Amino acid sequence: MYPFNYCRPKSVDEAVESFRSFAEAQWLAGGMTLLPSLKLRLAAPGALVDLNFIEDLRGIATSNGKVSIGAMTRHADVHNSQDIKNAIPALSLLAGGIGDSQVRNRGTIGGSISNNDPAADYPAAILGLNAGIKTNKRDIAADDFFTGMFETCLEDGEIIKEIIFPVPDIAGYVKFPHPASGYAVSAVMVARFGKDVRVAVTGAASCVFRLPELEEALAQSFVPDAADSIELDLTEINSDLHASAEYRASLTRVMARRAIEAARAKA
Amino acid sequence: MLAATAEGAEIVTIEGMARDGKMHPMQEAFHEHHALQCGFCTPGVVMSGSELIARNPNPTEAEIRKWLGGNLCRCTGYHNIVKAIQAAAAEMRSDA
Repeated sequence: MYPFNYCRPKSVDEAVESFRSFAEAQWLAGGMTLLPSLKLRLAAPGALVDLNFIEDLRGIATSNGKVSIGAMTRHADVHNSQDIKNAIPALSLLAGGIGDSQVRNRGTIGGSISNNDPAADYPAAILGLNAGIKTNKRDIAADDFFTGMFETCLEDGEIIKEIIFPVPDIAGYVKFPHPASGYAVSAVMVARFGKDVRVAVTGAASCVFRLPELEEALAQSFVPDAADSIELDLTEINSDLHASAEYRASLTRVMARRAIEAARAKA
Repeated sequence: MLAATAEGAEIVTIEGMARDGKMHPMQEAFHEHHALQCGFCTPGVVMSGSELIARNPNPTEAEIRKWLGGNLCRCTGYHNIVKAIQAAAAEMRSDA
């Protein structure tokens, strides 16, 4: 690795101050993407501002039909939380399927969604469950947060503090994982909130996306067969070594069907 | 993780598993069940296996295999690794 500055703030204010005091600073959360990037010399930040010692950014709280998760909460803690298992079992399942146990012990929800990997699990949870993202500057709606491949609407120096999930009536998440990495070849989160249904797909395109037509169909009738009608623009669907666009589109229909079935099983 | 993040932390490596010249039950089980071939992956697998038993004293074979998803054995000797972890779990339960 190249030399870089390292700071370990104890509070969000201190972190922002450290970030501003170095050129080319980057936040270090779980480091599950950033550290390999440094080792491969794909990234050469001037400073790493380590968020791992800010107590306020960690923890899980439930109240009034909402689950709040601190940005630096590890995947393993989300997966194992009894409160989350009770309130949003699909979210616990999703967190338990990320990477492997080593990754789940280090990786964080805030780090994952800030990175916005096109095949990461958490973006599907944020978008499908309509989570709110609270930063040190503002509240961001799920629909505004993800703006493109590895891109979000976060500004330079902005820190996610917590992610607030409304508790759905029912929800289901099913992933077809790449067998080596665990990343989604395609994965679907389906959630019903009263009369409204949300469906988010990750892994299939350059960025997580919703399926408004399926959402409308499911709002009328929440049945697995609705997934058969999913039409995807194949020019927008990823085609690579692992799966052609046609295969991924087909896989997405299957994942959506299974996610609907999983949600119904919890009704 | 970044080494600097570990400053101030206590770190247990494979060398800290044996106590007073006596091997950890997980190490004993690996020896007993021939759960290592070239040995390259062994320290990581022993550490992961011990962490699993600490969280789940009686894991199923499927749970062991899922937990070890991030530990790759280039000799592909997973069968005896799973057997050893099950044996160590049984031994540690009987000691508890």
